[in-house]
Amino acid sequence: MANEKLGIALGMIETRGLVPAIEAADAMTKASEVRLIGRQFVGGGYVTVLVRGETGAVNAAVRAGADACERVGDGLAAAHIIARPHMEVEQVLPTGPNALGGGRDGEIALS
Amino acid sequence: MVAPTLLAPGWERVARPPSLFRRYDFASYRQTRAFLDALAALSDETGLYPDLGFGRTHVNVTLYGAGGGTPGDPEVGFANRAAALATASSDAAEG
Repeated sequence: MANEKLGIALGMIETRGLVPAIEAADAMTKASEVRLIGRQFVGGGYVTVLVRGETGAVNAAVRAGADACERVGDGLAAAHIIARPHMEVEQVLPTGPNALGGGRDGEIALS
Repeated sequence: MVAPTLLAPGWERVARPPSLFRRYDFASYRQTRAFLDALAALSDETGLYPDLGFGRTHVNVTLYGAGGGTPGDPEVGFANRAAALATASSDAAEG
């Protein structure tokens, strides 16, 4: 199964600007046992960072990331936690921030 | 036959995908965070983890049934307790 070792839950934080996105990613990975799987430049200055992990860990990470955004001005645009993404969704999720495409749109999981 | 548990006001049943949904609006980020913390504690207690979408002053909660099925009494119970937590979070954050 694709990404089985990453855990089932998916956490996303969309920010206005890169600084709050980096701050959120830092806070999320420090807050709990999650893996940063991607950062996507949405356009218009919006950046989305994505993490995977166990459901409780992703929940805690996204809350911490949102707090970090709040500390960086008006950075938080939206946050979302999907406890169990459908397998069809798994195919379009990034596998890691440093692989081909750097977690951008061109980088998708090959299951 | 056991009567189905009543759903707290404001929650709605969604047909496709079968789920329970409610949007909560708050006056401040502080209230939003208090609610999210309370909801996380409820999830840890019950083992039910809803999908959550939130911004500075709102939280969208979506509850699915076990295995993607129709939400049952456990999910309805979770929704009803979440409704109480939202009120408590608003009061606590204001206090």
